[in-house]
Amino acid sequence: MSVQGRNLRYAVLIGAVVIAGAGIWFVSKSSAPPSTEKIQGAIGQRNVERDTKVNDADVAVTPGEAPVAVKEFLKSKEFRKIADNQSFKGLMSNQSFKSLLSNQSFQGLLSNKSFMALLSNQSFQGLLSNQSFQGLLSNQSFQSLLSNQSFQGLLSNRSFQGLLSNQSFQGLLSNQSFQGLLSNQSFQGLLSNRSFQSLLSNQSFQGLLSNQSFQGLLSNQSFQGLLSNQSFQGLMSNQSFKSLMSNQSFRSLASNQSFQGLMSNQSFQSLLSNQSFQGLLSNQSFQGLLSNQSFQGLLSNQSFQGLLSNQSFQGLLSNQSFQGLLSNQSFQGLLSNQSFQGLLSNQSFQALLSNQSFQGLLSNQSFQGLLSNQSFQSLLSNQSFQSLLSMQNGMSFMSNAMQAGSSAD
Amino acid sequence: MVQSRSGGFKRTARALVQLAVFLLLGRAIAKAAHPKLYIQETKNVRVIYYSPAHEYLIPYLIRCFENALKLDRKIFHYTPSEKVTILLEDFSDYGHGAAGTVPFNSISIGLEPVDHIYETVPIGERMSWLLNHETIHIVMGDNASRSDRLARKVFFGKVDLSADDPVSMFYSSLTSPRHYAPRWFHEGIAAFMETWLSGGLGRALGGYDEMVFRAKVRDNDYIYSFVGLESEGTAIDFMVGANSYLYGTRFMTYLADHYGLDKLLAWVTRTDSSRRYFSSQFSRVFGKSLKAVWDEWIASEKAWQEANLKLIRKYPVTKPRRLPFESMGSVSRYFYDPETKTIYAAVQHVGHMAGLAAMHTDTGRIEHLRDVQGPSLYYVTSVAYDPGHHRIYYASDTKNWRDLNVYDLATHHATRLMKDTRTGDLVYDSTDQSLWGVRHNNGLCSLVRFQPPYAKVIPIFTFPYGIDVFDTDISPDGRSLTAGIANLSGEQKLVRFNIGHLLKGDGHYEVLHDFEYNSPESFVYSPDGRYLYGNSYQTGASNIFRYDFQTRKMEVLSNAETGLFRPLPLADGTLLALEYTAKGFAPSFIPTTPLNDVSAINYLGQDLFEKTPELKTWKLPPSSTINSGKVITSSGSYSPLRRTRPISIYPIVQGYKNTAAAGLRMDFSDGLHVSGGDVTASYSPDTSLPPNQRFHFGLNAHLWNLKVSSYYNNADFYDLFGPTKVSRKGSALKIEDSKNLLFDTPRTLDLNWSVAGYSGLEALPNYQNVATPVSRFLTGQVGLKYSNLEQTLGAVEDDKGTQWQLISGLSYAGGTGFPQIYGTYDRGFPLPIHSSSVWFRGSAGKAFGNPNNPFANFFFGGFGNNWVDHGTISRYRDYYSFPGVKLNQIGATSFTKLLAEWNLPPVRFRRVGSTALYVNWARLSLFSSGLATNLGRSSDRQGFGNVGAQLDFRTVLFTYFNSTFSTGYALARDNQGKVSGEYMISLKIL
Repeated sequence: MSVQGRNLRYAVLIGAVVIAGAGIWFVSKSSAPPSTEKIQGAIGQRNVERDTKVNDADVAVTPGEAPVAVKEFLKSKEFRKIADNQSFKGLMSNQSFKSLLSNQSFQGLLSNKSFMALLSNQSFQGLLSNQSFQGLLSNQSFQSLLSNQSFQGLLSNRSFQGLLSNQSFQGLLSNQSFQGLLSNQSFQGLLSNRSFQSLLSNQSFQGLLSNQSFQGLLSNQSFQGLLSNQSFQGLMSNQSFKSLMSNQSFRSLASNQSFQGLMSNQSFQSLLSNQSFQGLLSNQSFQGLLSNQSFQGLLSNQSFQGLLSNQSFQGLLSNQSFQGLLSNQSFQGLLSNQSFQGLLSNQSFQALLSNQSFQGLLSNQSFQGLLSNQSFQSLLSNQSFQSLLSMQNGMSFMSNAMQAGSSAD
Repeated sequence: MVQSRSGGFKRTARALVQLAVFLLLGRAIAKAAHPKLYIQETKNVRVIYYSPAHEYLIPYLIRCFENALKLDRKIFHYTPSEKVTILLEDFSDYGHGAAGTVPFNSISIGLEPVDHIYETVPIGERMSWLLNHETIHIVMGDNASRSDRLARKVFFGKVDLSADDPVSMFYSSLTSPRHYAPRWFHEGIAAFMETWLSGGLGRALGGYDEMVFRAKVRDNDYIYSFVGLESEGTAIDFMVGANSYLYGTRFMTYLADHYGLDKLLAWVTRTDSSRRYFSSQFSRVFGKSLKAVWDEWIASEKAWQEANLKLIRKYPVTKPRRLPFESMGSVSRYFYDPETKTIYAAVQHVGHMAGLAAMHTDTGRIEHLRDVQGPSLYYVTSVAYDPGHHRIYYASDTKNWRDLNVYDLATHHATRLMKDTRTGDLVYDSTDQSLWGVRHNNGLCSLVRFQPPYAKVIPIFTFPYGIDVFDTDISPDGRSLTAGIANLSGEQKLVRFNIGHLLKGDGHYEVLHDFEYNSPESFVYSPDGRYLYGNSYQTGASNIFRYDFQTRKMEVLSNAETGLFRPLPLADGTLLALEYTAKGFAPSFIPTTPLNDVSAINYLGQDLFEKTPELKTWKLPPSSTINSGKVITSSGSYSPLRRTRPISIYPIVQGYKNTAAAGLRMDFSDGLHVSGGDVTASYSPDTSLPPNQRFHFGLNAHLWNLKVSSYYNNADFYDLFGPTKVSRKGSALKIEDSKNLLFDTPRTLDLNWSVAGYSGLEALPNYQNVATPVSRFLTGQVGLKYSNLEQTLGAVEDDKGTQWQLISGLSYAGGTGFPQIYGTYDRGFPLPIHSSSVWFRGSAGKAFGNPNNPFANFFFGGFGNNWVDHGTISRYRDYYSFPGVKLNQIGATSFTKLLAEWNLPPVRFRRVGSTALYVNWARLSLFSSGLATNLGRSSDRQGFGNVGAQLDFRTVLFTYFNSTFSTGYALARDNQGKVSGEYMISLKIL
């Protein structure tokens, strides 16, 4: 560094220090530096000034009002894309929808970028233009669902958005009965359930939801009651059951009108709500059986459905040991046997199945071993033997004989 | 190596494409992470908010602001220098406010109901009350004399402090002299004014304020001088920063009471003829020094409180029978287990982590069960007890959005049940195992319920705006829920809800007792359900009250000298309560006999009010007198970028290598600091420099987290002093961004990335003594940084926790890429000694490439502090630091390092200095570290060890400019036995 440079640097430095010092002195100059009623008894009331009366009219706030944010939303690119739609214009003039727009939680949703992206989806725009869906949007109960933060999270889920853009599902959304379900608080609770949301986000399940026949089931009031059942909701959220719902074969069963009839049966629904039976439904082996077309035929059989609706038989189905038998592949083969199914459809045999004593036998592991025995199964499949079993006397004989055998073990 | 021209072009093109991708990525991240902002403006204010759900409050907020400003103009002869920017936010479960005037007028308002525990703040309409307080801060800092206005013209605005250019301190004090007054001054006058503008609703008439000083007098506790208050009082007392409000309000009230309102106003009002510095103006107005009058106040305060104690002692005083514990500092709602004779509560005291505690009443032992993260100042947190399962439910993160947690007393295991429940005032219903609480959300108060497994908040009833519900309890039969309820006017009642009705959405309640303007606090059921016990300031001091459901009468049970809080009736008929003492709350037994005679005490604020009729005229008219529809001039979306403007321009001096430079700096920003930055340009007249190095330019800009910085011949103020240099020849452009992957304070995890290009450099950007082998190169870095640090109340820095970072970098120089990766891990433990901690800091890294190339090396050495500095004071903790050897002396392609450090308790100074300059604390740290380098190459492997100490003194200039004087010495030794030493002296500015 040259001498000249150093001098200049010191000059600048000294200058800065002098200016700073002068500043400090200027700011602090002449600052003298500090040298080093209703209450019992004679209870007094504090006397303090309180002139603090505020009337509601002085404050005059209405939680939920957000005209500026709504105005900005209406000016947004996403909104402009759908604003030209004639039908949507009708929605905009709908008083109830206007109230939705001023709902504070829904406005929060408007700030959600993912939801805005959904709004710009052409297919979803089509749905918004659907008068029936607009009716749903105007439904106060559905609006409260839209205001639910968890449901908003679901709306922001891309996969679910894909489902919303699915025309078939949109048809379902436009279905008044299904809208009734959407307005059901309990079902809304299910929709707000994260686990169920993950099921809704499952593409395979979405496929099922897009199935018109399954949609018919969803529109069935009785089935909706089942969906609103907390225990069944728990089952819907069960990982294993979710995989069953996503199973192509089961989907075809679920789409079967007769099976849907069974699902709509209140007694069967109570069985579905039974935690033990839910455990069976979550059993992969039993799920395999449910996916078996032949067994599905049996499930679609009205007479067998009657048996399934029988409370006593339901007790048997809830029996863990019997569930073990149902999960036994060999026994499942028997159940899939059309001839045996005929027997199962036989009312007299069903009476036997409903007989508690016989059920005890069915729960007996040793007898279950016998049922799993192919030779015995062929005997059971034998029509002559079946006719014997179908006879009142034969039934009691069978029951007594088997019980005696069981005791002897 | 000779590179072909086409190869060089391709590489450059590739680098440019990579840079563009990074830019686009950064832009995408920046765009994705930001909320949409809205604005509504009047002639005087712009209100910005981010949630449409908050918009319903904006017109009212504007009316409150305009209403307050109208009177402020009149009282303080105030003309705003610019519009005030107000941010309405919902970052916390309790309402709050903050204001600043430098570099522009800004206010932040948290919209939830305020936390009025123990009547530390008044209950009433909070928006007007908050704005009455915050606008006073604006008036105090923004009100200008002729000379202030001239300075603002010269510098194009109010100059903000910048640690990069500390000359800004001088300019800032010229443009905003009154901003540089102590916190007790600002908070004192704001709390004083809030009271009278709100018709008596404020801390000048606060029961808690009156009690704090009464307890100090009764307990012969030290009352701080105005210097000691700032240097020690706001750090070691359990109320820490709240002392600024308490002392300031009291002193202002005393001045008005003894010297008159006119003198008080003459002191605090900035006029053309007033003096710049607050204490200079004080002496001029009062004819005495601030110290003399402060001492007068302390003497007067003692006399005032002795008189109040005499009034209380007129009737038999309640003598609490203390449990064998010291005063606990802050205490939550607590529960008693008769089987183990243990009290369970959350407690917080100076020098200790806040946490759940088991207080064994038979032995006096206090067992720390579990830290409570993010505790509240006065009550730590909301706590509920499940006696059947021996579990404590508690809220954490009380300063932000509260979480719900459970602590199992049997397993000593804590679990977070749900995040961001926003719920406090927890109470457990043993009849159905449900938890009830009060939730604050979007400015509204709701009763909510949790059912096992407590994973979902079930809203039960939401109250209209302005209705505040607090201190809930549930009857032993599970049929009724009681609470305190307050309305917009601050009128409060003890009420009872029918739980069955509530569950059907019916929020009607039965009024048990009307407490008028007094708060019915902490009312809880007796075990037999016949009584409710609670406390209230009805007599002026906080006493214990009992409501009898059979006679439907309220009885008073105590005549407390200071104050009694949180009564807890026990099954055996005895009664526990917390007695307020000068050191905090002390658990005690008190008698349960109803009293017939309790004297009311006098409030200093009321004494002033009765002497000064003018105060009555300060009561603001209803805000409905302002028509927000007329005053709002515009509304819509808020774009930070479009609102960015220059805020000040001022001269600077900088150092470049060994020369000095002079130039200008311009700061720019929007009203929220979302977008902004600075530009500097300077010139070194030193002819020893080549002409192409005499001009210096620097730019720093940011939009949200995205930052762009650039320089040409970088110059820096601190290069004027000492051995550490950051000035560099050449030019650079750097883009960086960060994203929160986890934000659950104090736990945070950030993802950071940056790309930078350099040209014409002689030395590496981070290593001043290492020459670059090439003049042009690119660098990129991606890193994760985790932090979970906590500090005890009153500590000078974090004394517990973990932090780590993992950084991966790539330098692209001379056609070759040099990857490197390194990580650090720090873990600290508090010692039983007050505010003392031990830390272990480990680091390791590896660089790849030719070991002879500097880009493939890490460099270590030196303390790193410059003689005058603005970086962190404890630089020896950084992985690249190694005190005892010279800066950048040790080069290594790989390394591992471990540092052990003991921070001794700080010594705080009560009486060293004046308001213009005082010493706050001193702290000694001892450390030792070991460094092993070139681990993979046995021929080059080296080992180093050192031992050292650093002593820091924190000083404060003009109450705002924190500076730290540090000195240290370290001895280092390498594995050859060579020993070297280093002495460090440094003054950190700002």
